[in-house]
Amino acid sequence: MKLATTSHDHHPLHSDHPDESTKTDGITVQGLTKSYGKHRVLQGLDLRLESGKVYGLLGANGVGKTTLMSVILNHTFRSSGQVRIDGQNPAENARVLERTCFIHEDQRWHDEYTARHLLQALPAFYPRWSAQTAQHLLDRFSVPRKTPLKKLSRGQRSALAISISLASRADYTFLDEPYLGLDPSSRNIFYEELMLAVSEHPRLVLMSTHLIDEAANLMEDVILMRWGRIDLHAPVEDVTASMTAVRGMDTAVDEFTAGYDVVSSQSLGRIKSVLVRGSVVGREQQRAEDLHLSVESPGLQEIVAALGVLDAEQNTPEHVENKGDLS
Amino acid sequence: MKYPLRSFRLYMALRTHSIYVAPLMLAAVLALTMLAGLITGIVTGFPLPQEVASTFTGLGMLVSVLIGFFISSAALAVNRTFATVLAFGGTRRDFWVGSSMGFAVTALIAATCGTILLGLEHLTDGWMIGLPVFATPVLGDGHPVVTFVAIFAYSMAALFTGAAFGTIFRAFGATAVTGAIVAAVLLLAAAVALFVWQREFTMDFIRSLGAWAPTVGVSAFAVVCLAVSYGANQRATV
Repeated sequence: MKLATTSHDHHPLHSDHPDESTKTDGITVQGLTKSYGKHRVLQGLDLRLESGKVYGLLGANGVGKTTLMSVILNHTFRSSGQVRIDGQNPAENARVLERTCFIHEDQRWHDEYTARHLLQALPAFYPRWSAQTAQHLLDRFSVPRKTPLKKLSRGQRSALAISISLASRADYTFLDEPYLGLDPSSRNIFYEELMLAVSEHPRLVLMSTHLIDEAANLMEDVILMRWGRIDLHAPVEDVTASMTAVRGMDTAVDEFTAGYDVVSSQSLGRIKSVLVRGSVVGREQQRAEDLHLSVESPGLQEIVAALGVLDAEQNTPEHVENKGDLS
Repeated sequence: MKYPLRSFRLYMALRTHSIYVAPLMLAAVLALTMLAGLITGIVTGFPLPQEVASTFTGLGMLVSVLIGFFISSAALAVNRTFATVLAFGGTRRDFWVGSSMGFAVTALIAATCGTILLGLEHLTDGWMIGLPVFATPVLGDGHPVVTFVAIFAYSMAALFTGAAFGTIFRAFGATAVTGAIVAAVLLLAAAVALFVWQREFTMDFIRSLGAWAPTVGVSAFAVVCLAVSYGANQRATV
């Protein structure tokens, strides 16, 4: 469910010179379910993704993030529900699908393909394919062109997937844990290049990630999934503004937060860190200062962790039934 | 045709499998058969006597080598390239059409090379040692048109057999492939049983086809595999 909707006209990823890709209608998902035998992976999702925005898809392993992306693009068949891309059913719809790019985290390549083979074929797949971008990215990531893909390292395969995804300039680009195997400096290259690519050629990017704080600056909206459902869909700044972190000596923190809705609490010796709902302003801020407490905006990862979205134990259907609304 | 051509280009990008392998394998088969002929000739003398040369025509090496390679090549191509095409925004149908176009090109290359080699075989009186490598009964007994069509049909049948099994694997998993292989063997056994049971009719029919008989049979098989591969393709997922 949505926390709120806000305008993103001034987001740093938005270009002042939007090109034709911003004229798309986005993705709408209604009542989407997906079952494998008796196991129901997606439990009736409703989702609206707007063109030209970068979405972070967050959740513990196995909650259905990859399945959701696969079903939207018809890589996997849905059990029920409806998916629309630019108002059209994407299933076997070449005109719609040619504007999508989704290289899976465990993408299967032909054993003998090299990056060069793919680079030869890719311009035919994407009308706005940028060979220059592809070469630039492959150079930055040091991906060899003539080595069979099966011999590339995990990080090199991720770098190849990132390079193709960004060079495709596809209106709908899905990235499934794109950083796997990348070292920190390569991840920085990825974040930098993603930001540049999206600002120059706006597109809808749906990116699943566990490295939330690293990628938080790229995301405009965050979608939190828990056991096949969407627990939260809101702009990142709304999510981070919805809670406050209070840190200090345990007795002072307990005294201060007594009247607040405490979401999570962690202690290290006598130092305690607590996340509370809402903001701390005015006289409350003065009271915190008097108690020598630090009051600050928490990071997105801290909030997501506090909500238990990344905690596998809290992602059972029973837990979700009991927990109900997170927002 | 714009969309299937994308998959076609992806298939053709791997030239080793799509273009070069057929001529190379035909050349390898020729070399190996000639080696066997030369060794045999040490005992029998050259050119090889007719009764000895006829034993080479029964080897079927050429056909079996090409068929085996094409089945595995197509299974791998379909299994792996399918996921690539979907990742790049292709549809199942366009992938199938594009790959089929690629298979046709590979089969045409094999057929052209085979026919050219048959011509050379005629010109050199069996590679100068009386050895028939391409003038075999399964390839039309030396008739160039039949040889061309036969190699094309064998190649397409093999490629679509591989494509069918590769796609069944993608769509339904390894157990389904095993089931499909068992089912295919049972169906072939049933066809053979029917053939034997109605041998008077079937033998008459085969005789009426003459040199085209193996080609017609294989072409029918190719059509079945083509239909199976398309059906499985529509259910395949990544």
